[in-house]
Amino acid sequence: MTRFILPLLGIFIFYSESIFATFSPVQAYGDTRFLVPRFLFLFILLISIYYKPRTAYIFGFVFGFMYDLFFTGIIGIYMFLFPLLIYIALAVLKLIHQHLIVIGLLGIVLIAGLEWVVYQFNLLIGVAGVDFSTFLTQRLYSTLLFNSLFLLLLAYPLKVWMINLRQTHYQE
Amino acid sequence: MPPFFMNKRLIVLLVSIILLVALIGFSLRERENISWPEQFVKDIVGFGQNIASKPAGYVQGLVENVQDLTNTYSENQTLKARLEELVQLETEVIDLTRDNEELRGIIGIEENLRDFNVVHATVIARNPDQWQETIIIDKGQVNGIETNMAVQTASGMIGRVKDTGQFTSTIELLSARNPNNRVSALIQSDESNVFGLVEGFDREREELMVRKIPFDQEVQEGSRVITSGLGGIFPKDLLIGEVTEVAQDEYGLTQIAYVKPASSLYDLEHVMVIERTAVGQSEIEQDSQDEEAE
Repeated sequence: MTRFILPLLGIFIFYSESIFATFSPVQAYGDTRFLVPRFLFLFILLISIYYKPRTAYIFGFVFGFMYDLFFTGIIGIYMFLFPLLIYIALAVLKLIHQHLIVIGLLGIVLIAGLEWVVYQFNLLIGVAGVDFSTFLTQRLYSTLLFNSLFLLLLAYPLKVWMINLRQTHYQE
Repeated sequence: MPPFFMNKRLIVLLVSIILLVALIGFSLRERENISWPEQFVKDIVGFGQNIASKPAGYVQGLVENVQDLTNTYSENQTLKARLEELVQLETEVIDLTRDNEELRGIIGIEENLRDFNVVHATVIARNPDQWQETIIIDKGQVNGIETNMAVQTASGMIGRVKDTGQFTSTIELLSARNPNNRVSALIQSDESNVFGLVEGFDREREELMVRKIPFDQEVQEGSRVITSGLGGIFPKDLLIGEVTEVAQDEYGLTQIAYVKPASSLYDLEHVMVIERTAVGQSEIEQDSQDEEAE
């Protein structure tokens, strides 16, 4: 039964993202600020570190594919980016100390990278029409803040829960 | 060079990049509607999204109701004032409609660019990365929705149907940056109607741009902009917005009118998909081709 709980939680977070997106954009400090939820990516990142990298790659691929098909309609972007960023995260974490705060910061940096790549791609195909400084002020800062809020609230409970889950699975 | 090709990771990376480019190319090409495997996955995901969005929509509605309660009194006052004007307007409209019908009966025109059917739908999701200006609704092909149909809210037009699945469809908003996103529009001035094309969205002003207005036509600020029905896809008389400013275009040959959309393009909950009943150019061409074949 516990085998299904991780995919179910993933599906729940996947759907919650589009519901959180309805709050955005907000007017704050005299500008329009977009809040892009990247909770699914953070969830997959935590899986890769505290549960199993293999599961994280599969989740990244499958949920990225669903994301591409259902929301953006351009297949391949998130399907490719999610596993790639997990790979980068795991490579970096071999070199540095694995503390939850470090991992949280790494997650934020990777989200910044993800946003930047998606921005560049949308600029390339002509969907995005804003210059880089507008991208920074309108999207990146507010998005990073929004996602760090998620990490602040849920990173520690998810960490404890995933470690417990892994132990019960190993005992079986 | 065996070590180079033996590197498993490198091969995985190369293969996936090739696959990535192929898939992006596949999904970006011009097409009428998405392929059936895409529709299939989209419908399955949409089914879950439909369930997930219901409680969220309920909570949101509850919060809005409480907010509405706080300014009920002042709203009521203005509404009462408007109500008296409304009765007069209503009798006038009934009179004109009857008059119009009679005249149409006399000259024997049955088709009208204004006729349309409506499918009501609920917004179940908005693209979380918010680059593509798209929303997803809970009605699809089984409800009679086809690509390129107009979509509006109670207050005005918001976009068109980009692609459809069996049970869900994606709507592209007027604010999307798509060169194919063009709507033939009509600006109602005092003396005559002025035609133009809704093309593009000014992100800083958050206003639509109506281009290709002849330079000798005078456009007043505050005039209403509606669809003209001449594009062959949308019906006539859907409200788009109100002109806020008129300017010369970059070459000085035509004018640009900045139009504030009548409906909010962000906070969307219930939308109406409009099916035009008058035949458009494509159907007429199709018919004539059929006749030639016979």
